[in-house]
Amino acid sequence: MNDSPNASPLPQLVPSNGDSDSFEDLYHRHVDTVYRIIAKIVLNESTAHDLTQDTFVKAAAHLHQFKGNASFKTWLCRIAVNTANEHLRKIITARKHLNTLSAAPEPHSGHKTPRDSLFWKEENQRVTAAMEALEPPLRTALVLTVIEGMDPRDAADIQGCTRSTLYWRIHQARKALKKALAIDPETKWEQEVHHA
Amino acid sequence: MHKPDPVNRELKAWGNRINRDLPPVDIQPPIAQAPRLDPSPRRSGFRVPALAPFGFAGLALAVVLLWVWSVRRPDSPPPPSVADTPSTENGFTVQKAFFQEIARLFQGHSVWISGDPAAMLLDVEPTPISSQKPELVLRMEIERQSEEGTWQTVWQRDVLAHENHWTQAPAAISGHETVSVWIHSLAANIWLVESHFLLPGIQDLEARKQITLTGSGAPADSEPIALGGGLRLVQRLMPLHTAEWGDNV
Repeated sequence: MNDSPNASPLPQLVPSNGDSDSFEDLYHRHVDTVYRIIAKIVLNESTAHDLTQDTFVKAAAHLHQFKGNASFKTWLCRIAVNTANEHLRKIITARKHLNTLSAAPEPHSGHKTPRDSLFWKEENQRVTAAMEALEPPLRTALVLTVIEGMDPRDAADIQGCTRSTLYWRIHQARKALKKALAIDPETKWEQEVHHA
Repeated sequence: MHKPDPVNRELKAWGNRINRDLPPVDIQPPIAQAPRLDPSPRRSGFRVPALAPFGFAGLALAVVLLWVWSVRRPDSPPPPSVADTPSTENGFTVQKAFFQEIARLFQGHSVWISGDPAAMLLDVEPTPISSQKPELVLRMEIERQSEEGTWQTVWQRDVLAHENHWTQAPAAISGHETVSVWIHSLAANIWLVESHFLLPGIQDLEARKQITLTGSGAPADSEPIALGGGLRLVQRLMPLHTAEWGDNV
């Protein structure tokens, strides 16, 4: 019955006629930034490579929707972050389902990415493991602000949340990292973020 | 000048090492007039394992329906069900006891619900994420405006969700759509609902809406999100356990 609340599919709504002569220039200007951010969110080099490509394909297809309210970099990073987080959500779901097939399900502790030697080199292991255990929105908040040094306003815009929510995420993420890395609880993150 | 925070220091050093060792990205810039995106997941590697637990979901559905049926006594009114309630805020409230029973039965798990009176479908996330019952039920509705100007529900999903946990509707529930949700508390009775929809024709919709509950246990709606084509998305949040309400911040 088409009028059922569960009827699918929905009608096609979005035309895709994006256009830009300078898209290649924009690509060359921002591809490294996008790649770096995605890599630190998904914690896997080859996946980051694929998702970077996905990001630019999406950006090209939706370029006509870019309104200029934010900078192009912010708009592009938002697509990149959404693409990376969507990938992680799929991993989390798949892992949970896989756990049902094993005799002893793991306790919930974030997702597990495919191991990548770059991220699991000896000197990177502790931080990678701690980052891996964070929920994707918390990890993303840290990557954008602390590691990439973005302005909190831009980072909040990229994550599509308020600055309060961003600060809350950073706070939660740092709390978890301190515990995981066994770091002294003394903290001055608020000042650092505000002064970033 | 204050000493650099040790967490920041570790993170920055880690980030610098990763940046230094990342190989150069080697992809071709896409053409701006790209073809329409395929909303289905490109990487199929996870699809087979993702489909694996549907047997479990089906079993869970059968158990729940049998249980609901078996506890109905002849002299008691039938329990509220998704089937016989209209898609209105009032109907949502009527179903609260049903949602609470599902939450009790599947304590610790997130549960997705779809369907109509004839065929209700539940899917229980197989891995428990908490020892607690789900705290909230979120209803997502896509409504279409009729010629008379009234809004009619054309698509609806419910999820019994825990705070701060991403949950994604399984294919058995979502069909052609991909829907995932994250809910977290901003302050007492103020919740942020983040949902991500990959719906046929409405590509990659990210919805982040703040919903303020009254504290009475009644549901509250987000601002509708216009989807174009005479459609809109409404998200409706209802607490399942009013006794502890406000203690979750």
